[in-house]
Amino acid sequence: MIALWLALLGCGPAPCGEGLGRDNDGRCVTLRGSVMGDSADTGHDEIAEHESLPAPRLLRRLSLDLRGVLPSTDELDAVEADASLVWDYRDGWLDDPRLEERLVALLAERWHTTVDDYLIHYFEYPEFRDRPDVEYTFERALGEEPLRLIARIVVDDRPWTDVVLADHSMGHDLLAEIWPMDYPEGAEGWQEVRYTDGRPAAGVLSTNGLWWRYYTTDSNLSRGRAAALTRLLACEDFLSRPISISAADDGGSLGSVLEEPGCVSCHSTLDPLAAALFGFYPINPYNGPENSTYHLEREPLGSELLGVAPAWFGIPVNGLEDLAWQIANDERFISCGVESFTEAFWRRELAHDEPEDRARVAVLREAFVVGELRVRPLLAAITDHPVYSAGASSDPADDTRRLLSPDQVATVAQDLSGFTWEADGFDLMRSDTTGYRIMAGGVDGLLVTRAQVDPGLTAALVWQRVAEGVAAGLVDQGAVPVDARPGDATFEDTLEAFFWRVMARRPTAEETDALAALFDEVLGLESAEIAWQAVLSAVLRDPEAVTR
Amino acid sequence: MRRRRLGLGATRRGLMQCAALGVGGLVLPRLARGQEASSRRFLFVFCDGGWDQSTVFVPYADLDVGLPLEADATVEEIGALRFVDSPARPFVRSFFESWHDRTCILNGFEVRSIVHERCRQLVLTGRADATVDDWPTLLAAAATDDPLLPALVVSGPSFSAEHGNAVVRLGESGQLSGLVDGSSLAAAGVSALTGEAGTAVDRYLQDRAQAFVDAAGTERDLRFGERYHGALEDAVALGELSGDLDLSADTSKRFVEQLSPALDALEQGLSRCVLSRNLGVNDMGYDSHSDNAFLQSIHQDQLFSDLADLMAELESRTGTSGQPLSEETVVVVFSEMGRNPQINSQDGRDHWTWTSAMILGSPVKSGVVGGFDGSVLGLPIDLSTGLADSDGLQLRASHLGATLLAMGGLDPSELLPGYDPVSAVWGG
Repeated sequence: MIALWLALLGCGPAPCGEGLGRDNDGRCVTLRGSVMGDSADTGHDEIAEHESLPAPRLLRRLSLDLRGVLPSTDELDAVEADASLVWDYRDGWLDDPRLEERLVALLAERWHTTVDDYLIHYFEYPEFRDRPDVEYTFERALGEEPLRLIARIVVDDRPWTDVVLADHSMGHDLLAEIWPMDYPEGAEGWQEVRYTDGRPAAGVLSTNGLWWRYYTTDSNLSRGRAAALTRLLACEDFLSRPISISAADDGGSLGSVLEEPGCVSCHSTLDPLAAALFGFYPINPYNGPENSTYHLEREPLGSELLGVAPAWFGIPVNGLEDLAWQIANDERFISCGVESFTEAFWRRELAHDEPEDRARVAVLREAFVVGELRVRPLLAAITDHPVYSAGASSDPADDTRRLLSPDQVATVAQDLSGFTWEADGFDLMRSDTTGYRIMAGGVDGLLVTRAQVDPGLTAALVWQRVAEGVAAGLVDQGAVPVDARPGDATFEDTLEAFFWRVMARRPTAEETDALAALFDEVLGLESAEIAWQAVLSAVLRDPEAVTR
Repeated sequence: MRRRRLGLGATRRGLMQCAALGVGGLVLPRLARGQEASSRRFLFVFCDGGWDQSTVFVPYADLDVGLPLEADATVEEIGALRFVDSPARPFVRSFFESWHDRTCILNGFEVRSIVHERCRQLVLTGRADATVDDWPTLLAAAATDDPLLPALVVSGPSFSAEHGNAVVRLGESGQLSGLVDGSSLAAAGVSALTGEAGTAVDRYLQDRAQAFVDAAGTERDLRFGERYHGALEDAVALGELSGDLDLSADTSKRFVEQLSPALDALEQGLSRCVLSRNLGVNDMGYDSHSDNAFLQSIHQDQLFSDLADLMAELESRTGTSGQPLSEETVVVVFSEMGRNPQINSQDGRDHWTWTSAMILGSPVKSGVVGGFDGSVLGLPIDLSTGLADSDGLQLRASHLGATLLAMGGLDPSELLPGYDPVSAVWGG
């Protein structure tokens, strides 16, 4: 194992390891990210491009991506002994309840709904006016509503089309106080709910949360919402196309967007789609109750104000439910689902003008269709792919050294020691006004829309403080033998086990010695508890620990 | 000695070469007066929400726009500046009276979107897809003096890709301060490692980082390791400075006071770029879909009051060259879009792709560059004179970017192919 790792780091030739072979250039290569050497035909013609992570590191990547936690030492031991078990674990983790939370965090990076600031604030509801402690819960509950619905559809193994066809949403007990939903009495947290205001059943299209994030005004007339839908559901990003208001316009009015050649290419799609969304059109976008309920009577306003009949990419629709059916039957919706999950798990953007990426998506799309549009089989195919499991790649577009997201740092910390970082009800790793989400490299969905790929100063500081918090917790909990000293078997065993757990790699003797030296150095200054806190936090901040 | 944080990538080398060469000698001779372009600092003031270009910068009275004009407003000239004056905005006039000789108004460039989020990206990167570094990040990444906090974001948007590690966020509530001194962990009931114990861990990790770099078998690992190492070193260096640098932030304070940590950083050579968001009076933002005239007026009056404080503060501080910090720093005041000349049913103005920006500082030639026609569309201009020219170019956000990059000693032709700087901003 160590020999293989050293080889990957360029420290000299070594056996490629089980399931790996050498290509003509002498590089260790694998197929299908399968360190088990399963060379079954996966449709990929990329044998020479990707070197898989060693099995334990791949297990770690999978565990972090699917569960948000590090593999246990038992799991690592098992995979160390039999690399083929990686895929058994992966299959099991696709059924892990923690996958749902991971999906919510991943979806937030793309859907941008978990912002810290909405047009409507909690205190505008009389129910919450004197309850500032609900601010964070209020903001996350509304922003996560569409994400929770998607995540639940995934873990329930329902088809992707349910994202727009589901007849229910996910509701939080806090929102149930102010939104018209049949939230189960006495329940807490997220529950499956139905709105009681007569709104059409259209999955995420019927969620308040989506439309609170993507608000509209009486000049925009839901066009921005339409653009959000095409980006999120069809991967057609109209907003990335530059527009220009030219002298040919009628005195600068944007009302000419369906006549001006420079505008019509986008607005001939956006305006009819916007016209289908007017049940959520607010007279006052700042009024809470106004934005809490669906307005059936406003549905015809769309056609009236925009001067077009509702349609989805040219196909006429009759109401929100019909729109949802058209989306569900659109090839773009299926492909977009494949692409968005692929990008989320590969941590790279797909290049549509690259034949190789197009071919990859085609293969994955086939798996998606064969799997009856269920996302978990798709995730299996995505994580099967050599791009996912690569520890090295000849393609510079591949990110083979992936930073832990702020959410992963938080879930790892909580799992290891119970450490949580909160203040005034705010989860500091998942918010920004007083927290550290974007400082740790994350996305807030408004001011920062792309996750950081390289370590920077603030991310390093956040990791440091989280690591210190986790380490202090472990020491407090008696997870380390405070009386043991370097040279004692107990000390060495504890240190090596922790290193193995965190890094998914056995420490070399030099590495153990260096940590022992650190322990001794700090012990000369402080207590044994502090020395352990120093050593454990140092391991948690290691370059290999903050990446996957 | 701290390592450069930008790694070994070709782009980094390209940036450094550009910076060292001063844009191939093309623009440096004119730009170099008083301050080496490659060491020039930038302070970006981002007016969030989309300001109305007609409130101060574009006298609609000159354009025959066929719209009712603001009551009591007049078109005034101070020095080479022509602007809209109003008794409701006394700070605008007083600002120009004091600083007109260092002020250039850039009128009539198009951001090419009317959606806030994309306009933010466009005005800061020239692109709508957020896959490139923004102007502050590019400038900071090319800094030749290896600043500790290269692109310091006090608040507001930031777009980065290749050089994301150059961006340091202060945190809207000054969170960076608590991270540096460890007090942030108090919220979790935990004590941070401090003193010599903390130093020992830092030293251990720097050795680990160096070993990681030395063993890196891929370009990706090499870049990661170098940037990780740089971040560790920066964290240590910042910790050592914390006694001399107050990083705390208080959003209840006046704008210039909120900027105090950033101004300290500029003064001490710790940052090349600073970006801060300005939300106007009571943090309402500039997005005036209703009651436009009143809201824009109070916001921009407050803004110019803040800018006067800021310029005075820059003047009173001494930069690393020994000159006033105002001589080293270009202040860029901008918004993500302009506002539609038509008044809507709520007495508001909706979004407009064409807008204005203001550039303040020592290399700037006082005056108005560019302009609008009677439809409030930007006029094509001659980039070297700034005057309308039917054979000239229509300005885009990328021209603003190219101008700033050139002022910072970077070669826009490499970073923004097809977009030349508006050299009229510094005198052609």
